[in-house]
Amino acid sequence: MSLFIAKRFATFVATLFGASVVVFLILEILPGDPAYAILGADADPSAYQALRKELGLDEPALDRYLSWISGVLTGDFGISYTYSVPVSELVVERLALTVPLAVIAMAMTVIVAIGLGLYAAAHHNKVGDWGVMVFSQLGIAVPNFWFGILLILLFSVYLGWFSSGGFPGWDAGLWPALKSLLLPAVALATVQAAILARVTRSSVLETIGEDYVRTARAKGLTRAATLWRHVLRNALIPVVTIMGLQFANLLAGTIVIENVFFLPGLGRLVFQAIANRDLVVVKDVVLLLAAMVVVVNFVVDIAYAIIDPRLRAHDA
Amino acid sequence: MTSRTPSDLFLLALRHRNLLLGGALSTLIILLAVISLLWTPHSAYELDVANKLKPPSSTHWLGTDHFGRDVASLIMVGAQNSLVVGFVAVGIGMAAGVLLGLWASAQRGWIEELIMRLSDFTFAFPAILSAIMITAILGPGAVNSILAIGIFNIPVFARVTRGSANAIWAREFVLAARAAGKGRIRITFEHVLPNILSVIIVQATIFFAIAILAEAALSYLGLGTQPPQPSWGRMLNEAQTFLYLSPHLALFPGLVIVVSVLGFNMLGDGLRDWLDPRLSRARLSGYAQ
Amino acid sequence: MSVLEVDRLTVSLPMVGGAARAVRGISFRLERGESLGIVGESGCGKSMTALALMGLLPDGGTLDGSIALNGRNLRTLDEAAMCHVRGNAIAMVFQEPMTSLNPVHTIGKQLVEPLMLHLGLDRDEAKVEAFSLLERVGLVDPQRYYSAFPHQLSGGQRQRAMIAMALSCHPEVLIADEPTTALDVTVQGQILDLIYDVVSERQMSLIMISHDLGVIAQTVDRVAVMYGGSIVEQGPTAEVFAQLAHPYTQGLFAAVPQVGDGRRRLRTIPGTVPELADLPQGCTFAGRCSLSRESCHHQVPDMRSVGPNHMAACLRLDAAMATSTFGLRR
Repeated sequence: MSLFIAKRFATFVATLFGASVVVFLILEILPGDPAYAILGADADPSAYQALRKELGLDEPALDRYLSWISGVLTGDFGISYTYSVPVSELVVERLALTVPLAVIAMAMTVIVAIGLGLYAAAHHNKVGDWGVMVFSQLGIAVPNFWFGILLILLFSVYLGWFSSGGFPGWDAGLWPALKSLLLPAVALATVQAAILARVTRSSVLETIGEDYVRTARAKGLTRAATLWRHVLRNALIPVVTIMGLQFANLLAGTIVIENVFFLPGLGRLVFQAIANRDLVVVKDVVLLLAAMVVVVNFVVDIAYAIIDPRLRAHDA
Repeated sequence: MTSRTPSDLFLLALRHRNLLLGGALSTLIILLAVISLLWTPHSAYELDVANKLKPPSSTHWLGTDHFGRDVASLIMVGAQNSLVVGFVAVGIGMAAGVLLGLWASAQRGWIEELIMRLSDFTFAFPAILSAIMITAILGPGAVNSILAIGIFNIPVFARVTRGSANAIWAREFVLAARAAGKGRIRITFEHVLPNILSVIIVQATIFFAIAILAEAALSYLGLGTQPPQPSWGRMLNEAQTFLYLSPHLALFPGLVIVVSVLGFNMLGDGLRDWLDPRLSRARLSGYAQ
Repeated sequence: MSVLEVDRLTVSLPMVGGAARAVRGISFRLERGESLGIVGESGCGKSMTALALMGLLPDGGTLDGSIALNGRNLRTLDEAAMCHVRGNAIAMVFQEPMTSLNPVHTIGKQLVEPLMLHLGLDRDEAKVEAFSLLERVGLVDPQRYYSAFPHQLSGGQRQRAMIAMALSCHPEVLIADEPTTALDVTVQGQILDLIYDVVSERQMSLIMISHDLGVIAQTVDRVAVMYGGSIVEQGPTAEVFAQLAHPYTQGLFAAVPQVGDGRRRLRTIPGTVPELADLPQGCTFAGRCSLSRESCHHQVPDMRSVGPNHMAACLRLDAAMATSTFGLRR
């Protein structure tokens, strides 16, 4: 067990390191001179020199990378060029929206997808199964931002149950805050659930044919008990893989959905930063988002070992 | 073989319904784009503010937008944009990815390891994230969104190519070719590539659908195609401002995205069932949005 | 009253070319403490018979005839009542110990399941019982096996665990479907001995299914030979092996290499097992039988007595028994 985790952890750290190098190369080295990129080519020479000094561009690239990374590791993300406040302050504020949104959406995805997938597999080749497959095929084709717009159209324009966007903040109380995250989460989850339901269905169908399922039935377990105790956990193994991959899509999706619903999260922050050419913020936020994806994939790897004891085979 | 009766043909069509329906929907979208090169009901660029935000009518089948432009014409011209971005982005991803995958498979050893580990990193950067980085340094535009989607596609194709190519390298006829003294490069292009072509084509079709979705998202965010060039994502962005006044504006561009993604997805499914039934299950892991 | 009485059992399975009758009207009884061997080539319907007894036919499979357990017709039971029979009154050991255990649960968890379900034990009581079951099937150091996962055990150990599961609720009938086929030759004998011992010690009735005449000869009181979904010969093991009546049984026996056969060429039965969906009209063996006549292809033979409790279904029994050169008395 510990060896397995150690190996995964090494991969995890290496991926994080690689991601940080990629971000640094693209956003600091590729533009040639970030000071020009921020100010534009017709910048005032003295302002340009001042910015170069402020960003520490006189130093060699390796030193700049090291000081950026050591800063990030100690919680010092640098100073935003446009807001003149520490990036960490900006980020923490936005994370309080983006993380709950992603978690709610992921929870919805998992619940809906596993429910639908199980239902479809249990009603294989019947109307219910067919319905789930059509939902899945359609759901994969629907852009999440358009689905978000449709939700606004239905629930705020016609029914008036929700506001069409914005976030009151957690200070406004748990319910108003959650309410404003509900439609965005549904918009994010529906598309992902469509994909995951399909994976769940085919995985469950495959597992139902296994010999140990017949053994369980021969022991006298009912169909439902067999499905629950013997099929589900085995069927979840491939489902968890796809879930890990989906989290990356979900996080990318929050960037889009935050713009649909005017939610002040990381996605909005990075857009404003692009509009303001605030490369410091862009660099930090992109690294943060990439790191979140990598962390989730690490967690998924560990989840494997918990679900599938065969992966822990070398522990003795 | 005897000639086929109509009911035989019906059964055949039923078995290949994905291929037929997907092919029909994809053709429809491609036709929209091609026809728009020669003819559109109205100009997609001329402004007619007097007729702005009109609901669908006999003159403007799908109504007009806030500048009075004809929505049907915008959608037709927008199809060009989606298809071009899709073709070029998938083309970049496919060309570079297939070459990298073939190289990794032919060399094995540390080169394969390096290529595959590098492609692992890109899973940390969904298309939108790399598009954000590229836009941050180069500014928004169609070319940059093509770049972002294309770069994102490279490791995907590299993985698929390497996996299938490795299986071919293990086959007897490759061994025979090596025994005959053929070099790695020759074997790669004479034996390996032709045998994995169907896998690559299927993958390309499915990633074409994903590219259309990604392009729409980028245009919606303002990172992709810039006005006045019409694009479906951009139309939805503008429609959102007028959601209370003219909800129909938000409907049609979205529907046409769904139709084209559905079409190319089903075409990919159908091609896969037709070309290589064994692949049927190895697909969903490639989804990204 | 017999423990198990099967009367004209027929099983139909949906197939591409229409329904296939995998089992066609077989009848047998099983007394308390008796063991019955069902022998035949793969595809003869023996495993389908076992699944029919368990009420676990594949989806779309249909049943005809009757299966009576202690006089109660199992076919009249609903699914809930049938679940109470499975693993409780009738238990089964399967062919593949490698795949018949759930890879994500410990042996212990899978073993206490029927104990808690059928005997109503709580987890602690079930664990105590599971330990003694594990010890009984030869998995000494039960603590270790209780918390082991299937992948940590060898094939023989897994089959022992499967037997422990089948024994757990003191079933009246144990069905063992090719229990040793997937195991190493060296382990096969141990597993057969184990099954034989526990069955006799608990006065259980046993149905041993195998394609291996050696396995059957060692363990069972009575033997039934199946071919093409029908029982073609049935009788006490000693009687049947002493006087092989049906041409198919003779061929099956001749195909077993005997020690001391030297360099003699192995005998085989000409032809292959017919497709179940496409069985011939009359005697299903007629196409491969050297004794067959025109009438064999049209008329379904009835069971005829050939000795004490010994019966065979063949129109050419006299000729078959006259030419029989096989058997233990040769």
